[in-house]
Amino acid sequence: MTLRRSAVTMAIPVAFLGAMGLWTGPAAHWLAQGPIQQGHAEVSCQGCHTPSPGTTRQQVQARFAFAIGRRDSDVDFGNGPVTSDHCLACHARPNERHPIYRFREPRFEPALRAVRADSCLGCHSEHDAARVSATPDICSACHGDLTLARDPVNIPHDRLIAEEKWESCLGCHDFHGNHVFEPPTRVQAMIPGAAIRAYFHQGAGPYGTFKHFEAKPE
Amino acid sequence: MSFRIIVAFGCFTCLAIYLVVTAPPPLPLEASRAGAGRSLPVARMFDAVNAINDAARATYTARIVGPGGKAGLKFGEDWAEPGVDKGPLPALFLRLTAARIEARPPRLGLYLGSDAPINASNLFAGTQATAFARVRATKAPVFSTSERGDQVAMYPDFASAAPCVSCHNDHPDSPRKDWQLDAVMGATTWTYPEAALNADSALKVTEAFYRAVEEAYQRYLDKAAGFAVPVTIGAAWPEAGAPVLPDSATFMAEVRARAGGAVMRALILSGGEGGA
Ligand code: HEC
Ligand code: HEC
Ligand code: HEC
Ligand code: HEC
Ligand code: HEC
Ligand code: HEC
Repeated sequence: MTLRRSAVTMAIPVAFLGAMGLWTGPAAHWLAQGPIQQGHAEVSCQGCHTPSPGTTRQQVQARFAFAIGRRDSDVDFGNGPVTSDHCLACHARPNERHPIYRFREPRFEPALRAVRADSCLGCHSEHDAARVSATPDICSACHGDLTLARDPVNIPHDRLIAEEKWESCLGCHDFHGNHVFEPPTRVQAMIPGAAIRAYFHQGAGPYGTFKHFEAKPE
Repeated sequence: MSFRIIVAFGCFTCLAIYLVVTAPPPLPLEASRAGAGRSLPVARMFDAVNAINDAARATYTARIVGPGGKAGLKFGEDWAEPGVDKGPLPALFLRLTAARIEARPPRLGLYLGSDAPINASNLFAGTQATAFARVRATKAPVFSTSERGDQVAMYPDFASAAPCVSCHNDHPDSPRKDWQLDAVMGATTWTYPEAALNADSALKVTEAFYRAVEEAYQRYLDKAAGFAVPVTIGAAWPEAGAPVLPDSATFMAEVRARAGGAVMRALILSGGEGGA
């Protein structure tokens, strides 16, 4: 009886610490999410998940102090959040057609409600075995009033847009402009939608094999 | 009984020690990492970086694009393409700078737009269009807060040099052909995540912006060094018959000389309140 009671008493702090650990960072890594996309087979977890500053005990103490109101700010436990800066460390390219910083300008706020174009994670969620997690019609968020002064396409852009052919855009343009790829001028020569969807889900790239800038490995 | 109390007491002591006794030093607070000091309204910092941007734009346009064009140097939208021997237009020079400053931790955003743009994707919309109407009417900056909580400032972009006017009026895609010197051709929009910052951070942002200008100019020099007929880079500025380019130290000395007074007034001599 006495022994059981003291065992229970001893278990309380241990369980408390265990729960605190499970419910936050490092433990989640034992229960990792979906598989990472194939392109990142060679990228280690630390490429995107930077350990937070401090030892585990320092982090526990800081969180405890925050919980009882003796500290002004909380700290990250285990790993800090994944941000676009991680991606850009390997993928920054000077010729980016849609650089994310441009979409932090206030006039893009309505567009960002449709697609979070100001962050890599808005379109690449990683951990879901997909190259791109957005849908192919995202161009509609920003290009609704596009007209070309000298349109070379046999069905001009303003007509494609009036007819809401938003899935056609990726048939002739990649998004980042990083592939060595000339857009065709005839809609008959467009890359079919099925090939684009397959590419979004780890299929072969339809824009040819050459890129202006290769990603930096680790 | 007493045994149980001792065990329980022991456990809680261990827990208490683990949680609060700081044998390892406690993690520093974000705020103290940033350093303390006199607090400055963000408008002062915007005044300072906008003065630097104005100085860089004016120097680049009046002393490089204008005279360089007469000496045979070329500038165009397609300047970054391989095999094209051109330099960036003033608007693209600004965008290069914006990309450099955004890559640095104090998330300072810089954008250029207009209500009569050459490039349709630079057209103001929504709250920026309303703010710009006020900028055009008052020729003074307008401060606001965006939906996502960023501090926003919009400053008039004046036709400060003759090439601004001639190039825009002659451009086939320009919706206006009647720009004149000193007209408000558009506006620069700045964003920053915090409403106030300490003097130390304001100086850091200002220095980071100078560095961003320098890096943008260096990208042009790197490109010019690889032209089919490489451009001579040294201490001289281009003029008719001399298609040369100043090195980045010379260029930056001119930018600092032009901006220095305004930066000092914004950061050091100013009182408390925002506005210009
Ligand atoms: C290419 C970047 C990338 C790589 C490599 C990567 N992750 Fe992630 N991971 C992410 C993103 C993005 C999220 C979404 C959550 C976020 O925004 O923090 C995430 C979330 C997680 C989460 C959910 C908990 C959390 O922190 O939000 C776990 C667990 C995780 N990753 C484990 C791993 C493990 C284990 C590896 C190595 C096999 C790995 N990751 C490699 C990008 C990456
Ligand atoms: C440590 C460096 C590194 C980091 C960090 C990294 N990547 Fe990658 N990424 C690579 C490499 C290397 C490849 C494979 C080469 C390639 O396909 O360009 C790749 C491939 C990709 C691909 C597929 C390319 C293709 O054509 O198949 C996408 C999409 C991608 N990364 C997006 C991201 C995003 C989004 C992030 C941030 C969450 C990120 N990467 C973080 C190095 C990195
Ligand atoms: C608005 C959606 C969107 C955002 C935001 C976005 N991407 Fe993409 N990304 C796409 C789409 C769509 C594709 C497929 C078309 C293509 O290849 O350009 C793609 C393809 C890629 C590829 C493979 C092709 C290539 O260019 O090498 C990489 C790598 C990549 N993205 C990295 C990034 C990184 C890094 C960021 C953040 C700086 C980012 N993306 C932000 C939509 C987005
Ligand atoms: C969040 C807003 C946004 C989204 C979403 C978006 N774009 Fe854009 N796009 C822009 C802006 C802004 C420009 C810049 C135009 C410029 O600088 O001349 C641009 C430029 C372009 C250009 C011309 C680039 C050049 O160098 O002239 C192409 C092609 C393009 N986008 C295609 C697409 C396609 C295809 C999609 C959908 C997959 C898409 N865009 C989605 C905002 C967006
Ligand atoms: C049949 C192929 C085709 C389709 C479909 C197509 N485009 Fe284009 N697009 C082109 C060509 C060709 C150009 C001219 C390219 C050039 O001048 O370098 C172009 C140019 C552009 C430009 C650049 C305009 C400029 O001023 O430089 C943008 C932006 C653009 N397209 C967006 C889109 C969007 C958004 C869609 C979807 C509604 C779309 N395109 C559908 C072939 C296509
Ligand atoms: C050599 C030609 C040239 C000169 C000189 C020039 N501009 Fe421009 N400017 C352009 C072009 C071309 C664009 C469109 C760039 C783009 O694609 O975003 C532009 C863009 C702009 C914009 C954004 C709105 C728009 O029209 O797209 C403003 C504002 C602007 N310029 C003001 C100025 C001022 C002020 C000066 C002088 C300090 C100046 N420009 C000098 C050619 C020029």
